[in-house]
Amino acid sequence: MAQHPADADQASEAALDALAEAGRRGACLVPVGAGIRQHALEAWDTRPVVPWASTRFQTIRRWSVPDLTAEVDAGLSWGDLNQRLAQHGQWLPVGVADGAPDTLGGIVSAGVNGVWTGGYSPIRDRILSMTVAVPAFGVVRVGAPVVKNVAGYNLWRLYWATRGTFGIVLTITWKLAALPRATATITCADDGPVTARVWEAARRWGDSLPTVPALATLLLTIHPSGWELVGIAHGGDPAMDRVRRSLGAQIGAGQDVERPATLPGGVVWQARLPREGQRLVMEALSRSGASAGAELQSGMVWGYGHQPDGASQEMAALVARHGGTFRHWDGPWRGLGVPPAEADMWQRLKTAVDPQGVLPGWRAEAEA
Amino acid sequence: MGVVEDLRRVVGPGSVRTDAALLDAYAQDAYTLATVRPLAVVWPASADEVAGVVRVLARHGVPLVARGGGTSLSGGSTPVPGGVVVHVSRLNRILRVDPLASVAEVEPGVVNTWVSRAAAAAGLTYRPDPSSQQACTIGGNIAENAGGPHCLRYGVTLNHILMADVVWADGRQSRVGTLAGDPEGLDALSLLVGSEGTLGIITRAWVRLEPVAEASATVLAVFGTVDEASETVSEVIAGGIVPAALEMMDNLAVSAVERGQYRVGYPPDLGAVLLVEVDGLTEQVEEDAARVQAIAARHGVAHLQRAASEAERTLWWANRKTAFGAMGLISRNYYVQDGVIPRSRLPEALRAIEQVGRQHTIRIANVFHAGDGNLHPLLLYDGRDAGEVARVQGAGHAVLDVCLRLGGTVSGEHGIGVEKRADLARQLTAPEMAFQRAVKDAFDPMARLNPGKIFLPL
Repeated sequence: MAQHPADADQASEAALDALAEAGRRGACLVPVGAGIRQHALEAWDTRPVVPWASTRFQTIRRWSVPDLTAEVDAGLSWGDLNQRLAQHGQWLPVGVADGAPDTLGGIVSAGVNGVWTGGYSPIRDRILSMTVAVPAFGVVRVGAPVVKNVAGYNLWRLYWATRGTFGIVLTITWKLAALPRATATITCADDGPVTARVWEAARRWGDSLPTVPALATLLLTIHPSGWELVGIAHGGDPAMDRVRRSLGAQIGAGQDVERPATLPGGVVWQARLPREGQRLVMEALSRSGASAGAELQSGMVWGYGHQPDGASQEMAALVARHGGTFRHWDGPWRGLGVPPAEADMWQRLKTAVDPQGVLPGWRAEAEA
Repeated sequence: MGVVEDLRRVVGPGSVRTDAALLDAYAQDAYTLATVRPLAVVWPASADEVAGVVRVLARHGVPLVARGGGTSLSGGSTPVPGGVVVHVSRLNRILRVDPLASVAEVEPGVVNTWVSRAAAAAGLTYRPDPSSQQACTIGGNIAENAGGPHCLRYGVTLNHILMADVVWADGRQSRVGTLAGDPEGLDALSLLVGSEGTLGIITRAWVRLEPVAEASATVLAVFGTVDEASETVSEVIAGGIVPAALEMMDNLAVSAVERGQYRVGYPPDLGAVLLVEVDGLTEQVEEDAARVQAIAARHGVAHLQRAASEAERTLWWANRKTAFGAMGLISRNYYVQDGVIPRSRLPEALRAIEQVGRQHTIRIANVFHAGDGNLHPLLLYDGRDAGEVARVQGAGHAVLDVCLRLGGTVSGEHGIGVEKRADLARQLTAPEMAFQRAVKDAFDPMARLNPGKIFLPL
């Protein structure tokens, strides 16, 4: 992992050079991190595509241990970051669903959420600030590197899940968390499809821990032959003892088994749903013999493993029917959705930010 | 036909007022240093009426400011010269509380505390709790991205708004965000929250509710010096404890609230008092409260007490939450400043603010959200003395200089409004300001919605 402050300026200069070069060539500059979630180069549009490799820059620029904040290059992986942060008892509770070595910029750009979303909030709520390279404005900071800020519009949110549409993310300032002092893990599992027993277990576990969050994660995984529910709590020893006693007494749950908080296989799509929608989607997936995971406190659902052609479109439709949002990570990129009522406003902003259209745009057919 | 007549056609004759006495009452919000008499005040009763009003005003080229409780402390709802106030107080229904989804569907004129009151039967609460929560509205909270003491653990308004209906600058209406909580594609809701009414008018919102914690403990720690209290705050945060709230008041602030209705009985010679609330599972609360008390003891706490009853806790919070108003008991006028610093810089920030007070010959009381570094110096002055008014404004900007010098920001929860336009321009570089302006120009190209806020005139 690079540790040279000089990288900071190098990254800015390189990004601006790349934007200028793409403009000269009439090309589209597309950020690429670990290359896991994006499939970015396959079908952005008809122009030649120039990749921006964020992994060239992997420095922790600033880390204020007493403030629990860190500014980090977009090309650093979350795993590498957490390894460093652990030295001072801190972490970024990202934990993408399948444990893949995503870069932090890639997580932002593809809108990846992880298994700790229920216990530690969605990842985007941990973003305080970013530096971004923007064609019209150069390298600018959006947000502020403190834990509270209402000075101007929330521009950093423009970069969440928009895959470089408004600029190249260079650094991200994160709100960190302290590593838990103790952990309790409870599981229950069964063969066959997801039934009412799962939801009853989840409900009783939640009811027996009336706090926010009840658990660091409450992860349901389904596979063709059955399901498993894993609850992981973080806190101090007395509270963890209570969790073990309280939850372990229910539904024949096993205690303190070794369970990494990840899903098996490569995640190929992510959805987020209201609670009831999540239940219905998981039941439908279970009946069909699919492999998927869900964090039951946050509404997150992830699909993993090989998907037949067209499967992600079918999943997107299923999720939409139940009030959720969907992001696919298999096959070519199909573009951002732009509601018709907002299209002209977004287009004006896009033109102001990226007058030459050097960055990825969106497609008319993607309009909802 | 004139604009007023056209407005009356949309909302009815009784819902448009132009009488001078009433207009004067709406000439300012809680930021009393700016006063502009509006052309008219209009009270639409539905989203369609809001849209109709916006279209009429667009046709006449008249700017507008949407207004809720009028509690903005930065002049966010100060009228626009020659403009109309669009008051959302008739849009004041809580339409639905959904316990299963933990969501409340509300209109923008709903007062903040009404939401938690409506959700209480389901064991749920709405977390953002600005000190003005008895009067401020959800629409205003969204416009200003309001915070409050309990945002330390649970997040600010931005983290609690799932979806909203909005009227755009040309009168079109659309729904932004999603009940799932993570919009697909471009996210207009995130731009609207905290936009101070400059991009659109919210006509309905779906807000996230959360369960009331099983247990909570409130610890009151009295210190002989501000430094001891500040260092306690820094160690609590650095120790990984995330209290639900972590508030500080200094001696001058305490001397005011102790003259008010909610007296705790603080010793008169204290340097600062910390109010620390932890919540969660009973066992975790006990552990965290004990750790907080141990940290305070290490930093020389003079008096340490844990609330023995809900009544005592409520008194302590009432004392804290009425601190701004209590300034009226020790000063003819006061000016609330709002800035943020990195939490670890608290001791030096407070020393620097004390220095600002001395330099400008202004008494400054401090009541603030210490846990997230959100300072609220209260600058005391006599509004009849023009020289003192000028000094207090200078001191206010100097306080923000302190925040910027320490790596902070010029507003943590009050917004920019008219008050901090120059300060925002000092915080951001010229290209960063241009980026901000590009958003305004894209969403409101004719500058009809609350113009003159956030940005200084070009």
